[in-house]
Amino acid sequence: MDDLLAEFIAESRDMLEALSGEVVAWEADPSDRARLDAIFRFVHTVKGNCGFFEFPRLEALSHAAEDALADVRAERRRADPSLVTAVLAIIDRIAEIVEAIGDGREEPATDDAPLIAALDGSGEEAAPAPAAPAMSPAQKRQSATPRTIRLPVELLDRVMSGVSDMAVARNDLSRRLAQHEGETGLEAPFNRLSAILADLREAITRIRMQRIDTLFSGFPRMVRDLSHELGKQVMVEIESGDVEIDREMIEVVRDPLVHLIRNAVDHGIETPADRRAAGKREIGLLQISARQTGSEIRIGIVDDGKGIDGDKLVAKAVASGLLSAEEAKLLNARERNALICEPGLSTAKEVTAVSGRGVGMDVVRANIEKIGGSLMIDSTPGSGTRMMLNIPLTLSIVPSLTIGVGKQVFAIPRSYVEEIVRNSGEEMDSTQIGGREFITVRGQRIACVGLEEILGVESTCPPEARLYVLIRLVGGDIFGLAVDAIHNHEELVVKPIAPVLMACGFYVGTTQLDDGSPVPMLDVSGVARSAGMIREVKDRSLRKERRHERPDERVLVPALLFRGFDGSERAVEMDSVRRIEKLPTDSLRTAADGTAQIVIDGRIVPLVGLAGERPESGEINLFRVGNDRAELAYAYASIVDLYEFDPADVVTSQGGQRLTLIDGRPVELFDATTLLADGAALSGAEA
Amino acid sequence: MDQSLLLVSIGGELAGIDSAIIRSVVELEAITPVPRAPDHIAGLAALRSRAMTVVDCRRSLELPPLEGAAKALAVVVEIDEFLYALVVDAVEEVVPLDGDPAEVRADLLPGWTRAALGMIETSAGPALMLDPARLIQGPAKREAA
Repeated sequence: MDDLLAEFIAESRDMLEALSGEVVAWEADPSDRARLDAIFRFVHTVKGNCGFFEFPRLEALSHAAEDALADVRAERRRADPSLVTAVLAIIDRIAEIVEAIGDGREEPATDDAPLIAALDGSGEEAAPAPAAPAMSPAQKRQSATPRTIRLPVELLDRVMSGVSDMAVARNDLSRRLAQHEGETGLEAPFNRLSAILADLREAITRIRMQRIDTLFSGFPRMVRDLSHELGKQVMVEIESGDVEIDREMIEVVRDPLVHLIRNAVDHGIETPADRRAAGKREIGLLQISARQTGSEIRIGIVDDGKGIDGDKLVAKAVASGLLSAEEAKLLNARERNALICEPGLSTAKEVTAVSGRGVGMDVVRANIEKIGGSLMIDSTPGSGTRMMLNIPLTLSIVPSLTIGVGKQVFAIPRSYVEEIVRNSGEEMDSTQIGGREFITVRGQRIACVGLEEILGVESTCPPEARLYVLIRLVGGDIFGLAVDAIHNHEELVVKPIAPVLMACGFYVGTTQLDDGSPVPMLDVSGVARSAGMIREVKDRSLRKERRHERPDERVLVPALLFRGFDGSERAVEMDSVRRIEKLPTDSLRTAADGTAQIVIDGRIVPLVGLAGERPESGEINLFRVGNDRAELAYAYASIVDLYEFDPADVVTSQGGQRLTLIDGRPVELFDATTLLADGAALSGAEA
Repeated sequence: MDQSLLLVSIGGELAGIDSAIIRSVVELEAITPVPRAPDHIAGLAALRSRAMTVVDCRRSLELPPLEGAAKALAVVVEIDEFLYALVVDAVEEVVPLDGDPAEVRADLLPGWTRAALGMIETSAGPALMLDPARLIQGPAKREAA
């Protein structure tokens, strides 16, 4: 009987955990039948199990919830917010009682009647409860959790490395068998051995791992409750990236994560009124995402709230004697934000019950650092905060992509890989801008870098046969990594790499291929950083916000923002640009009236943009617009960035210039038509 | 008295490595190069199912490379749960180690000075006792990555 009870408790706990995300999702979309069914199944199971045990309160609670939900299922009733809240309250009460029973305590002395009454709060006549569809025993089995045992982790490690050694021995044996002429009679047993070993390996490698969703599943509910309490509206986006995490690690990171999320909702995201006043959507966005790399799991918590006021933090730190004014001047933005983790410092104006003031972040950081992790905070006042939690992984299986450049093989975690495109001309299109390769995939322009360039190795592949691995970084930025070959998708056991190699900044671990040869696993963010591909948090949040505001009607147009020889910034629509190139100043001719021409491919093309200057250096940067009949070259001093603008935002000034807003500044915008018209006017003047 | 020392030769000289951290002596089959690694790190190699970081001792000691070696011979040591294969010219013998290494009373070549713990007298003659951790660390000046 005790066993049965323990199983009932364990089953209920597991279901409760899995359920909390479902309830919130159901609230967001009450017509979601699958979610409703999941919740119904839970209360039904609890009710059913109560039949075996003497738990009258659980039975009454689950019975009432089941009845109400059955009405919704039968479409006799709509799932309105009051019903959802009432069901949530009942599930919470069930959880309390289950915990109490599990710990062998008295059931909490609370009155269940108001909760049950709240189910009918919508004022509808309670329809006679129909008999709930009975569940077959098989269905019930399915939802029960399998029995578990506890094992010391070292033992698992030993078993695991034993199995790995066995796999290497198997491969060696396979090579030797292949060297034998003719039949050896060993093939069949060898194949059987291989199959068993593959199974065993699969099972062993999964033992320590659990999907990170188990950790994340409770967060939507938590954010919902918290935002209700604070009178805020928060939308939660969770992206678990198929990350698996060490069971032990889940427990260790849960509290720090909860704290960071509470902080983001409490101090980061503003009230709807404040958000409206700041020109944002009323609903705040909280993104929780995870990525797995060789020896680290990266968990990002990104909000689009008011950000951290770094100046205020610094002022407080100086006032409290933590820093001298001179030291404070030397801090970079990230170090300033890190001050929020110092004991006693917080910029929150009021102390709230939710996350307190200044208490906690120091503890959070200490706990993360204790397990060898780190916390990085990027924030832009007014537009949001990104907290990046890096936690180590002593042992992990990473679904990976093995890629090649030259003769070398590297692994990259598949969770970073968005897509792979071939340089075929139909799917994508490639251009050089300011010495950097950009590819366009389905209208999106993506900066690229060759892996051989980053690692200083030789590429042995002609450019047109290269493959581009599109990589999505934790923050959401995408860049392209050009490689010679993609070898395989495989699940690799990644082990930490020696500190001396870790220090290069390009690797996070090592792994072995089936033939036993070691392969380094790339540190994707290290590669991105070295290629200058990590952009500021700000740009991204702005873009994101725009997308969310009017997802359907806006088509953003890419533009190249450049600085002219007169020092001012201008933008040109990317689609108008035929080519960007550098030409020797020898081919340049400037006339007395300030007009200029340049020889391109044996033709004389009018050149504008020099602002009367004749560049000293041997080469001049220019872009070309137009077609073969009418072409114009535009000289510029430097490229500032690539931007996207909304055509609806473009205004025409009194002087006939088209202006667009980039980063809050008005910037003159060109397209091919205006430029060619100007060019024609200039050429005409010359003639 | 239980301590012993593995004598190896590197660059024509005799050197000793404390045998307590030595796991194995192997001939390296294949070495996977690791781009952008420090000069003295030859790459990665496998010892059964574990990866080893291959350290070229000659480079680490700033000595000229060995000519005409067919296969790299390496002493495998374990430090902080990582395996390192220290590539040496030859492995000589195991000798008992008694007493602490003595301070070297002369200026050595810079590479040796950095990696040596001191001088020891052995039955095979005087040798420098090496600190594998310093061999792995390599010369202080790093190639700009």
